[in-house]
Amino acid sequence: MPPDDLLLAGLASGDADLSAAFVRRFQHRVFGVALAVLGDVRQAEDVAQQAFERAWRHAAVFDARRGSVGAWLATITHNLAVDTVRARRTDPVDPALLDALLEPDAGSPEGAALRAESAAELHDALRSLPVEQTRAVVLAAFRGMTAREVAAAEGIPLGTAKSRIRVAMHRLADVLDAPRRSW
Amino acid sequence: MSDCATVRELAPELALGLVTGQERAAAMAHLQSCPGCRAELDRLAGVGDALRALVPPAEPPAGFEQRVLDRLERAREPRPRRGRLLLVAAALVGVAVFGAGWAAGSSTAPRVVAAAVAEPLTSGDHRVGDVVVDRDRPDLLSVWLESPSAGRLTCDLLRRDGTVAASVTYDATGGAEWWGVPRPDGEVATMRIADEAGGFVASGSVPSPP
Repeated sequence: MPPDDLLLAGLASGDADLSAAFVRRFQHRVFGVALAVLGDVRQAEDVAQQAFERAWRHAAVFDARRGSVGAWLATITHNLAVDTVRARRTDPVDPALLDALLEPDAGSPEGAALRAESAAELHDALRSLPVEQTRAVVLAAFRGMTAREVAAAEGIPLGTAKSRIRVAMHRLADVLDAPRRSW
Repeated sequence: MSDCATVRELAPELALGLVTGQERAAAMAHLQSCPGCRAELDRLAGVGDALRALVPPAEPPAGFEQRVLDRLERAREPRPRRGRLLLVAAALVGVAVFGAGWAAGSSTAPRVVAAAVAEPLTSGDHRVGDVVVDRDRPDLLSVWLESPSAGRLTCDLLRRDGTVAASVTYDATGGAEWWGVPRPDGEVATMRIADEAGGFVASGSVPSPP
């Protein structure tokens, strides 16, 4: 199986086969991230398509030292989805979505690989936080909600929302011993 | 620029990509000069990446892959093609100049792409070619046209008021065509190409020399 960065180079150069292989390899992950933020299939497809186009435009500046192609693409998707949701969010947060995000998921083969690569202890840590902290960090990280939006959605003061997100993020960072990246 | 306390307060949301505008700009300015805050943000950004990796992959709607590839195809169209066209056109200007004897004594040295300017030729919404002018040959317009039908084409150069300043013919053999047109004295604004029967083929602005 060709490595991720080879597929990315193929996408950048316009190679038809490698571009198709790139989309096939990452489409579930990209669509999953878009859907988690937007909660709407049509909007998620639009954002996922934009994400692939942006990946193509920015392929030349991808820096492998800063992380995997998959993580980079997930960040691109997440940022686009958050921008979109800023403009369009009208729906209340569906509590079932939070549960779905916290469910361990068998999913596709890519999903299984992802799960293996993304520390199982993070999942455990997320579940071991006080439930209100878990909700706050999930709303922020997965649904792209700012502290102000979390406060409004949860009916809590802004300071409380900020501190829930902050405490949760620090506890998860402790668990992860997150890899250093250049910023 | 923010101070350390402000940036640390903001760091979790910053790491999740949720801070925008001036607030983000001020924090970024502080991070440039504060290794401590930068390390803190790196640590939290790692959490953001790891959390995103927990998002369950999802099956996109049927046909998604093809729609993405089509979109990429459309997005790719203007840029690489223009680069290639310019290269081809710039190189061919040299050949044509030499071959047709338009410019006895002119250099046939390769032209650099940056020294040429192109304007698109369009037919309806479609770009079907380019008009290119080279810095070293401002009096020559190179015309690139994709896939016209075989036959005699008439290429009019129009002034801004729509009157014809010059008109040349070119015998197309079909497939991608390209030829040179001397720029007439005085200003010309647009090029209009018609087929043997006078039917519209393409038009576009005439570029000014770089």
